Amino acid sequence: MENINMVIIAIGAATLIVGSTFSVYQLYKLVETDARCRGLKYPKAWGFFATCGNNQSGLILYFIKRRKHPILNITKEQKMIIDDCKKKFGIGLIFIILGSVMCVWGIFLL
Amino acid sequence: MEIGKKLKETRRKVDLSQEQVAEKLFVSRQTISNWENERSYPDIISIIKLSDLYEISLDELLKGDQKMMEHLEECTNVVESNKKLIGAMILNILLFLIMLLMATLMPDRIYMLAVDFSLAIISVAFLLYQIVRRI
Repeated sequence: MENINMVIIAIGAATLIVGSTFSVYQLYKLVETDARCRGLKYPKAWGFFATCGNNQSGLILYFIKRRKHPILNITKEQKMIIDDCKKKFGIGLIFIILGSVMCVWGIFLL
Repeated sequence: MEIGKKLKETRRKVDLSQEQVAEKLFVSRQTISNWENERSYPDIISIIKLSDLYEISLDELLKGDQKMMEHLEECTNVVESNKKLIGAMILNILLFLIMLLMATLMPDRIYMLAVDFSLAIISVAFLLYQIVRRI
């Protein structure tokens, strides 16, 4: 029984890591494209910054910063990238949920 | 007729260059070019300014362009998005309160705690998704 729990926790942890990595990359790309559309300097740095902080503080600071920078120009390609990244972020979150729930139940059943 | 073609035709009728329109709207000439070639769409404020500048009604400018209408609907549908965000926040607070109560009052009910924890994970993920959607 314990072995099964350990396996569930291991699979859950792996799913969680994959989901997290994928989601973080999508968030980085999303914020980078958004910053580029708004004419912010160093869009890649903003993308990286938005993924930092364990309570999404980086993303919240980006929201505060961009309030004074409306979208100047957004091409169809950029809009597609943004929409695509949002959908993929959602898929990554599903993996995170599955992985976390498996870990939680694996630990509780130990 | 698509909005891009309409904008181009109307601009030519009132004898204005892209640079002149860009100056009046405080955007770049490239932006005007992108709107006219439908590489991107103007937001609602820019459309109102264009309608004033070209002396054409909004009805004439927008009617018939399905893609433009969808774009505007998405831009202005803030109320629906705010409701989901607030709903997610309230759900999160409730679930965490329930978890706290259960841990205090019923520490032996491990399975119920696990269920509540799982629901809390799902609701936090939903809240995060709603926040990211607003980017």
